[in-house]
Amino acid sequence: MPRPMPRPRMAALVGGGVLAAAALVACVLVPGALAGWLAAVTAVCALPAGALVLSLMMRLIPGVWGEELRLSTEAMTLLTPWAALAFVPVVAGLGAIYPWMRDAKLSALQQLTLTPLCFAAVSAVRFAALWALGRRMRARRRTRATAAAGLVALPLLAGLAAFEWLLSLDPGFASSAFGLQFLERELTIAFAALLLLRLSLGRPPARPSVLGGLMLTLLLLWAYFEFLPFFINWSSDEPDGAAWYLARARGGWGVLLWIWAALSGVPLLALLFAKARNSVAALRWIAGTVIVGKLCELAWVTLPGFGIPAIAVDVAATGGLALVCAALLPSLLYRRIERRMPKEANR
Amino acid sequence: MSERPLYALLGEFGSGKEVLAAAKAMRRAGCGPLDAFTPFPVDGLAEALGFSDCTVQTAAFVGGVVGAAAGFAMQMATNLDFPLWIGGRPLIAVPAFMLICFELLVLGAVLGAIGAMFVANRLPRLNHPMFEAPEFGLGSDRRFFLAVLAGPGFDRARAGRALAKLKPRAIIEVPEVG
Repeated sequence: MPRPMPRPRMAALVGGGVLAAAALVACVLVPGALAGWLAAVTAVCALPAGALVLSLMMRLIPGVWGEELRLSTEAMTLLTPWAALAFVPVVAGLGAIYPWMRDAKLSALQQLTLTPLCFAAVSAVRFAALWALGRRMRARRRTRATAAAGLVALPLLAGLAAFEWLLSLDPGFASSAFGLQFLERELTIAFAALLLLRLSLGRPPARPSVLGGLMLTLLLLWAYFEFLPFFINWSSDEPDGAAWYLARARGGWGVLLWIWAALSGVPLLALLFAKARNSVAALRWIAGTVIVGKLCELAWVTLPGFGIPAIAVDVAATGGLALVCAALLPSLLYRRIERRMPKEANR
Repeated sequence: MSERPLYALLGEFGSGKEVLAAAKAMRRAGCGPLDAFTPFPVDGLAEALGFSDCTVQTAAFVGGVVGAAAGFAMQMATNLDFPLWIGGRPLIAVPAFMLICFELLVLGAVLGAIGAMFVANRLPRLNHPMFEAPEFGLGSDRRFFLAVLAGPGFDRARAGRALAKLKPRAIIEVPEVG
């Protein structure tokens, strides 16, 4: 039987919904503010997308992490339709966000791929793949083949989404690591959220150090994927690459850069110590810090050049949508637990 | 056996689980210090033996920091000593220095860890009292040994009784190297 949602979570759901709706209204009223919604909704899409990749990996690389997190990841993949719904305003308002909808100079390949139709198709195919693969995994139907196929298809789709959603904000900038950065960001956001969900509900995990070790791995990947493209651009010093980084190093964006670097870098250093990897309380703090860092990073990638309204919308929409997700996820997890419980236990 | 003083009392067990339980029981009985010899790493055994030495980790950390600092200092000194102006970049070009710093960080950490491991294990060492026990060779194949080391306050009779309670396959006296 589905449990009724406790009052604080119901309040978070309604409050978050109202906040997100207000942000959406602001997007309609203020031109250019919709980019803030894009940043917020990219973070929300990271939850089901990252959780699905993790659940596929759990199937092929079994171990303690799978035993601890499988149901939580499956619960998170149930957010896919809501994430897709939240993405609709972006597709509807492409003209308010992307320079290629106006008069930007495009290469031949960009003229083919940066069109509303292509953008909508990539987004739709990706959400459909997320839903279909997630459904098969939840139903435990041919999970091995699904996981193998999914782990080939999803990084490609994530790369395409990274190209259409974020890289195309500056058609002059090209980076072959952008898709990997996008994928790593999604995985880290999803894993940190999973940790928070797992550590907040039910019995504490038997071996938290395994989960702490995984978080450390993701943060090491982050350091590598963020530093190396910067270093390559810095070395070659080509105008387009330099312009992308310079726009993000000036003024407030330069300060934000140090903030998100610290919000991921300090947890990375803390996780080098076994005590931090083993402590549930420390892991909860680290997961929270990493999520805030990733949200700042996403704003730093997406919003330079859009002005204050976009930043305000990003903050409001992220806050609202995060509240909605925080309210929904425990209910989705209980639903998964009840679904997987043996029939006799239900009586 | 011989007149030589005892180095350790060795209990022989058939599985990792047994030796783990034995280590816990011996610690509870207050016999120690303990050591164990197994053909493969047994999860939780180090904790059960009360092993809390972190010399290797500390040495790796210190080696890493020294390596990274030395890498940075080396590049700084080279560039200041022989200035090459490239593409208008500063002589002390921090992003470019990071790669060498990282490489030397890894090198320093690895050398620190390996060096500390050698010192802590007193290597290279050609002989060890445990080699006196003829069955000890099985420890690298299919047997699990728990050793009660004869230190100050070691009571042979008490340790022997506590070990016998755990029903090992054999109890072996290991003398000091003569």
